[in-house]
Amino acid sequence: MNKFLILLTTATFILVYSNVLSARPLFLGMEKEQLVLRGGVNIVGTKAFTGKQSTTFPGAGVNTQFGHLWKKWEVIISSYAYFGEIKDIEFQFDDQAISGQGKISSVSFGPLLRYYTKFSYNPKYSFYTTLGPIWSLESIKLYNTIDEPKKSSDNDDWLTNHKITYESFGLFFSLGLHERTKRKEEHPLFYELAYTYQRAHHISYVDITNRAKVKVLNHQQTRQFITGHTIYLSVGITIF
Amino acid sequence: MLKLTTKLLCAISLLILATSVAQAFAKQDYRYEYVDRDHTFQEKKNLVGSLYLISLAVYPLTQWDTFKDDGSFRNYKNNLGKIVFDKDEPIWNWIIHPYAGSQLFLFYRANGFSRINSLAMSFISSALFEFTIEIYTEPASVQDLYQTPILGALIGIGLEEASLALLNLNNPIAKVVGHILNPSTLFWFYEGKVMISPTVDNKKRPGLFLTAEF
Repeated sequence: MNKFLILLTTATFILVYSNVLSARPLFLGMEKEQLVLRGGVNIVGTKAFTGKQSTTFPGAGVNTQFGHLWKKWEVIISSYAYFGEIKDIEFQFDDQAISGQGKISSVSFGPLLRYYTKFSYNPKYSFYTTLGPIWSLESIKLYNTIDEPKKSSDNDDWLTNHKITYESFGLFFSLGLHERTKRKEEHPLFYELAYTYQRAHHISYVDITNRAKVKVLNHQQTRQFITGHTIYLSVGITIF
Repeated sequence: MLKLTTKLLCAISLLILATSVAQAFAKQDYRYEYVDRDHTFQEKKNLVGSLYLISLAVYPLTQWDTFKDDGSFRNYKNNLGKIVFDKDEPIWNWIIHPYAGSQLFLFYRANGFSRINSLAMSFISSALFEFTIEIYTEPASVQDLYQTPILGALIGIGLEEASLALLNLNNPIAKVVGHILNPSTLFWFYEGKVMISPTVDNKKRPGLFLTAEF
């Protein structure tokens, strides 16, 4: 993972440095700066470290990006979300260990800075790179626990009516290809490989018996080490 | 209060349905389109202000239990300026809030704003609601602030295209469905009715004459 990060960082540095004087706009007919909305779908792979163990799981989801585009630079407010299934997750909560498997949903938001290079394997596309901080919320709904693998009415009630959420902060980095068109109204495509590193700082135990009005029963700053490395493979279009 | 809210929502739904049916069977000399134009600051202020007053009235009606149990001016003061991740179930963050955002988006589109400007105005309206009304019961939510206007715009575009296709069909049922998908087309502020009539100029060349209501 460290070698991969060094390779990504070096590649980005070379791309950015060699294009610092380039002034070719992303949309060829673009006369002035403009607002852009993009949407896409992701396939995701996450490796999470919780306490003494790690777990890897896949997911799928959507992403949206709302940006202010100049010729080569863009400031974006983005959201990346995915849903997946997690096995062998372990939490320490209120001095109790909770471990099991269940469904996970994650949503991340962050302000990102993007740079469009003049490099491409094809004149119809431009490489770009994106960097920025990211805040996320992960919700885990366990459907069984390791401590009580056998079904019982109390355990079922606990599993059905409760979920665990944790809030994380981290860094987002991506490399992508964006189609070059005359105008954004031609709905150009983009393909993106993104990486996030996040660390949890706050965990909550939530009662969802009443779906219309959930209740946070308990919450605390995490005293345990929960980190996640996530790779996103995205494809999408410019909506307007 | 829940019964009153349910009755109110049923009444509004019936009104939309009845108006849609009446419009569907009325003689139609125009096409439904969207006509983008510039707006003065006063116009923008009036629109945002009207929506703000409506949401101020509707919020306690639609969330009476939450308003009664969790609402207070003490909470208002504590929640002022705070932004948190809410722990709501996905139906709220992925369906209800984006749907509300789509109707905000279509409201501004009906008033002549372009797609990108409608998104920006939806964001302003949604942010005003989150930061100055909903904080009576809970702090502003990151998911609601972002997903209401952004996912709302995405859903709004889909509803816009579908409703225009249905409204311009020569079929009363399609028109009813079109109005239900996009209720903003029923109201006086909808600016997109375009009358298309054939014409011939003084050189006897055929053409089309377009008139739009503002």
